[in-house]
Amino acid sequence: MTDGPAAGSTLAVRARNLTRTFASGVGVHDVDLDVQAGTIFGFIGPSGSGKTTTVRLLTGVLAPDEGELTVLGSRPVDFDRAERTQLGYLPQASVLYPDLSLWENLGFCASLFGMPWRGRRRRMEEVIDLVELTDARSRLMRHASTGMQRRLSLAATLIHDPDFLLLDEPTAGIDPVLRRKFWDHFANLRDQGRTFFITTQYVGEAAFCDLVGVLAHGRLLTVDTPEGLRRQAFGGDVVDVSLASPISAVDLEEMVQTAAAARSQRIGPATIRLTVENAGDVAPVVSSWALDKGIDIEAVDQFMPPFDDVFVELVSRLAPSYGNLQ
Amino acid sequence: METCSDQITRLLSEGPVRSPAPAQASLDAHSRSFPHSSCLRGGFRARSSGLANGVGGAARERAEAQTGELADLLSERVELTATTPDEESARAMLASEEADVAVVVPVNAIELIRANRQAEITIQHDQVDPFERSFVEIFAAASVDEINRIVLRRMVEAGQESTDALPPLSGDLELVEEELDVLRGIAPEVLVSPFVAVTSNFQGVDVEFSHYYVPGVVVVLLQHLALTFAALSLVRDRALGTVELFRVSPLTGGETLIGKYLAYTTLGMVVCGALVVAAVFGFGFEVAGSWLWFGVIVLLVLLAALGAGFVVSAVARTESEAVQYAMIMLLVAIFFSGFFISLERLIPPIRAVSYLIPATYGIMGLQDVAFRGQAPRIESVGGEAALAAVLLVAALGLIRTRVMAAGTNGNGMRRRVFSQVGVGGRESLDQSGRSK
Repeated sequence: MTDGPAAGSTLAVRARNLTRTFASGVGVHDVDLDVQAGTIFGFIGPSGSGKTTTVRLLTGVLAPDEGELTVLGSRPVDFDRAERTQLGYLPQASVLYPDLSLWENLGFCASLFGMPWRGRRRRMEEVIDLVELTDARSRLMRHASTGMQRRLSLAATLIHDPDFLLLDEPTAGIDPVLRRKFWDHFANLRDQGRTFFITTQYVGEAAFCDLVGVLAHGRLLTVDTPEGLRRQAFGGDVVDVSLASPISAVDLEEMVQTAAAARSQRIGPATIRLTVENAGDVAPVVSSWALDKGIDIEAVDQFMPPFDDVFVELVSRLAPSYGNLQ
Repeated sequence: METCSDQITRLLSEGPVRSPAPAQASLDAHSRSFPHSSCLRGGFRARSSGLANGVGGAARERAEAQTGELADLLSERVELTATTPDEESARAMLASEEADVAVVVPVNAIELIRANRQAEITIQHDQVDPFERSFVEIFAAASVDEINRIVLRRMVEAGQESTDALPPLSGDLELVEEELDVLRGIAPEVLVSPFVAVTSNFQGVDVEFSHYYVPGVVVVLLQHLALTFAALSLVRDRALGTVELFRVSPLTGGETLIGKYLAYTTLGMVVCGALVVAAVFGFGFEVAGSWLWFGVIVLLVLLAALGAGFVVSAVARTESEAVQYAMIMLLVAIFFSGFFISLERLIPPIRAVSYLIPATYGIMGLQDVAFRGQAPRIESVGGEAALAAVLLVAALGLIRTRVMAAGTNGNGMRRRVFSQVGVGGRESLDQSGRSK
């Protein structure tokens, strides 16, 4: 969670105490959120955590029950035509017409966002090429695979070159190679000044974001950089110390104290995982201690835990602090 | 001594004829055997017309008396609205729909009968519906048969009375012989049926049975097609989620609706074209009036039906619900739009429902154009246009509030709205969004 925008920056999204609940009790609760313009903001969370609800609130499709929300400086429910033209929205499920071809659906979306006839065809060819569907353009949507439908939906979102893109799980069902291509394209657009608000269940994709919000049970647990999330999850940097032979509990305790480690864990017969403040400071300190103790150290490596682990760790650590969420 | 022809004259010129009980019973039995007899009495208004042109003095008085007497006979079956001295006035009343049938009575009936010819009582109408036309023909034949029976009976009665009072034969045998010659000169069928009924549409319209239903079929099919397309359109958009894309896009509810109107109107006109081509080349259907008017009416029917469909679409939650509404509308159109059953035969509350159906005005207008060869009556074009406008406004309102409005879930269930949007009666919020 953030306190407010950095001085001199432009906020694309500002939410305070944003709440929207449904009859079943699910929804989002008291979300405070700032998204800087020209960044990629990732929203990760398990199914039913409120990611899609948040996106729909940001688009104005849903109105909040409580709280304050501005997107591009206006309340989404009051967006005018010009403001809507700046939005690119990719819903979680395919919403395009199954009886139209991929190309026709793309043309439909281009007209929906008021793209002029002049230059439309060229732009359509650009985006359909980006999602690698040029050869399948004549295929009916109903005959396209889930991945192809997703790719076309993404192309339809990009067709009018919007300033603010709200993408609800854009890479679901897409192979890793193309996923990476998409993220590279998002980064490229980000560098051109576009703002992204992206939800994903692929927690590893958080690494491609500038800032990541972690959502669970409708509550925003934390917002940080990807690296910051790792540190939050494990209480600092994680290093693995590989020894030539196992050490005693007394030596381990001494090593932990020497390295000023917050946590330690034996992950192998002669391998110790330490959580420290700064991984770069650990290697010389531990090496010096081992030399004094006559212990052979084979390697000291910084361990980069996968974001899946980071996410699980964060949720297990932070969610309980919200008490009875459900 | 009164001659036979004088007896006819007297019978036709003396005051109202009171039908004796057996004849009345016969009429009632006939009426009961006809399925629409009660509607005939209640539904038709008649205008009797004696052809008095060129008739003056005693002849004119006699003609008026004949007309009055015949009108009195016909009043058993119709509601008499007026008696006019000439045929043109009666036609004018038919044209203005002040009367449903005009009964034209010849003033020279006696001369015709003396000349061994039956006197024609012409019954003119404005019906294009073959069922209604047949009904008028049956009504006319039955009425004139009754008149003939009464005349014949009166003749016999008068003959018997004159025989009773017959003075001894004297030197007037020549006169008797002359009268007998006249009697011998009249064919028996003329004596038995001095009057004959002739029915015709006053505009000369004669519609074949198979052609009559073409406008109705075209209109009802187009209404059903357009209504179903429109009803399913937004429901499918909602089910698919496309409506969410509409709501995020710069498109307004009105623009969405206009786009759909354009698409489905174009489709409907194409379908109409195909139906008309099939009717013209398959059944020999012809349009007596303007094809432009035909197109205008079809266009209005489509717009009104699409409006109804979009209203259904905004109200229905599922495709099956929308289809059910569309089917109900189809059945209502078939039975209450004048497609099968003439509007005049419907009781007023049901007829009020008829005027809420786009097909009603469409059928009315297309029949005017196709059969009567005239511009559609103002109430059909105006009614259809008004209905289309009302349904457009209703559809627009419903789509704006139930489908496209921010803060709704697209299924017509408005959720609690953000307090700052100014919903009356809600507590105000401070700048942080918390309740004061």
